[in-house]
Amino acid sequence: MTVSPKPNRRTLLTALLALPALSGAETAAAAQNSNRLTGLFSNRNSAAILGQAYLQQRPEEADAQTLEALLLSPANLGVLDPQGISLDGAADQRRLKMALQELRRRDFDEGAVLQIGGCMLSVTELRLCALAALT
Amino acid sequence: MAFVDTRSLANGETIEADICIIGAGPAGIAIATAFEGDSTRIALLESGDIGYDEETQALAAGEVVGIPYPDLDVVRLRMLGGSTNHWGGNIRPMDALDFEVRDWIPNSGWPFGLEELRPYYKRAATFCGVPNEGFEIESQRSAVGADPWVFEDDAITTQVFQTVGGEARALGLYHEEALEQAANITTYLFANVVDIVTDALSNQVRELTVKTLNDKTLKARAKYYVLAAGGIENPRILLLANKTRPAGLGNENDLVGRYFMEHLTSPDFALLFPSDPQLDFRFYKDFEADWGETWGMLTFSEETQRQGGLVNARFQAATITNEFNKNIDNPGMQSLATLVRSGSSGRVPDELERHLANVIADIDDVAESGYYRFFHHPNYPLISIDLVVISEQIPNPESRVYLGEDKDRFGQNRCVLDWRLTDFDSDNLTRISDQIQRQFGRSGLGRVRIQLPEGGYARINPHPHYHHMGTTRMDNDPKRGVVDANCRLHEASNLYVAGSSVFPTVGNVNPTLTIIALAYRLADHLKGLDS
Ligand SMILES: Cc1cc2nc3c(=O)[nH]c(=O)nc-3n(C[C@H](O)[C@H](O)[C@H](O)COP(=O)(O)OP(=O)(O)OC[C@H]3O[C@@H](n4cnc5c(N)ncnc54)[C@H](O)[C@@H]3O)c2cc1C
Repeated sequence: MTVSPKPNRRTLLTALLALPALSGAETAAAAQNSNRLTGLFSNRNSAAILGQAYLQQRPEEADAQTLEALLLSPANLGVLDPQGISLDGAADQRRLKMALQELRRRDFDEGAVLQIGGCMLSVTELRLCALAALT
Repeated sequence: MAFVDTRSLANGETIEADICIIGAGPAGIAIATAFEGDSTRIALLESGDIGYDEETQALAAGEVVGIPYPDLDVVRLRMLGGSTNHWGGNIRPMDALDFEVRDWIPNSGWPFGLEELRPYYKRAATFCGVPNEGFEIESQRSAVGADPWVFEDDAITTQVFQTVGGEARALGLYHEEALEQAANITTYLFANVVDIVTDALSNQVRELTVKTLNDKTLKARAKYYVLAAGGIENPRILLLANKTRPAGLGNENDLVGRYFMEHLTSPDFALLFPSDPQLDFRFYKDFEADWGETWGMLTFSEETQRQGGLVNARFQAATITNEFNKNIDNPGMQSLATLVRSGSSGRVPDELERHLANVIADIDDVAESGYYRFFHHPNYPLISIDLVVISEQIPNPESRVYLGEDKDRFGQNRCVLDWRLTDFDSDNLTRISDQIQRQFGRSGLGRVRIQLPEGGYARINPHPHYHHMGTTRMDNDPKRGVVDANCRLHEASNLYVAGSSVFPTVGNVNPTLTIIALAYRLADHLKGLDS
């Protein structure tokens, strides 16, 4: 039986977006998990284009670390990773997607939204897009 | 008792009845037929004929200042059945919140609530030849075999509208036989009421002056009078009744003709990109029932309206398929074509829209469906749904109907329509657009693109619906209303007003079902007085 290392909170998002520049076991875990997670942005190009539009409005967030920190803020982690999602298998991917939907809902509730091309989008979804644009 | 051509009566003759009704549109006909089989003698005085008459129709002309509006002799009809001879036939009862005082809407609040009108709405539906159940979600669900969309916390809800169809569509013709056969109702055609005569010292209407186009002048006398000549003509006739009251009858507080309201639509307002191109749209499409059509509309819940300080607005959904390729051989595509039944424009989406559709499908979690993967390909059409907004206008005393200088064939001043919106109305559209975007987004159903006109909502050119409302508003306080809760003129003890001119606020639904419900309520009130 192969035991995959449980990713820490950073790898969670990193894996989701298949971010490079991780170290050692994290990179391995991320790479492995990213394969399972590619479904999130089935068209990375589309995400990157929206991400660029977002970063034009918020240039101060235009680096991956800042975006990661914002996406993995304690408030977000409470939703994303309440019991330490392992990303190991389809069930966890499903939970992660649901968690992202919860964040999207929270953003719309709290007015954490931005207009891109006349559309109102949630800041979390735009930050994910922005990360995709930067990687 | 039949139809009488008033032109054939003797000059100077007096029409006698218990109740004289001015105007045989749906309001006047509903009141008259409510007395069918009764001993009360009804005289229904109608300016026009059973069919269209050019010379009579010319009496409806007037001047338009303020916001551009179609000609006044185009937006209403003078004939039996009134403007329902060319109406859309779309009906639904107003919502409970529409009747309440809403502290975020100045001059809101009816003297009674929806419960008061509910039994009359039932009779009004029958008057229009549609079943009451047709307004219910369950009825539409089983008719179309589809569910309405579900929003988080039910912040947006679905309502069912019906379109009056078939024989009932022209309401005058639909009730012609009933009018003809009722022994106690006489309908006087070509009878133009040109004055409501009151004595200087009494608060009673003494008689009506009636003129015909072949230059005869008659009188009509009754115990009670009902003015049911339409939302623009009702105030005009009151303002013209100025022989003993120079400001016009019922106008001692300068309210007659003020607060003219329309329903507001901004063309090309909003476009929904559903997260799932397979989003089931059937509930919102026209369903052809035996009696007409039914379809779903979206509206903000009471809670959302209260929390957001919103006016009542509804959204009609019409599918648009962008980049639609009509020559696709693939049978799968043809079934898609059937599904979306492209209603429109073939507008080419900009690239951003396609990227947006890709991203929201991922986030809202539909991108994995086989259907999505198959159809949501760059070469396939991008589905979007046009959301047409129809909202209420804020009551505004500066928006009004008044008498102009021009005279009609009888030497009567024609009316001037000065329709005006305020910044509040523009702000409301901003709030509505914000809410609709927010609620679709938080529910994960899609994202809404708002297409602001150049210069923002302040520059909006609203598309009129030909709903003329508010000009003799109802309020128990004579300083705030022309008629009281029984639709009786504050200033005359035996004159009542029927029609949308009495609406203090207008909700988001078309007015005629409420006009008819109020007419039945007024008929009951008059019956109570007699007994
Ligand atoms: C194009 C169009 C589409 C519409 N679509 C819809 C819709 O889909 N749903 C909806 O609910 N509503 C719709 N309406 C509005 C609807 O037609 C009116 O709400 C309805 O007809 C009003 O009824 P009423 O009886 O109060 O007045 P009217 O229908 O205006 O009838 C008034 C009657 O009074 C008569 N009259 C006027 N002056 C005098 C006088 N001095 N003496 C004697 N008689 C007089 C007129 O000849 C007329 O017959 C539409 C209107 C138009 C023009």
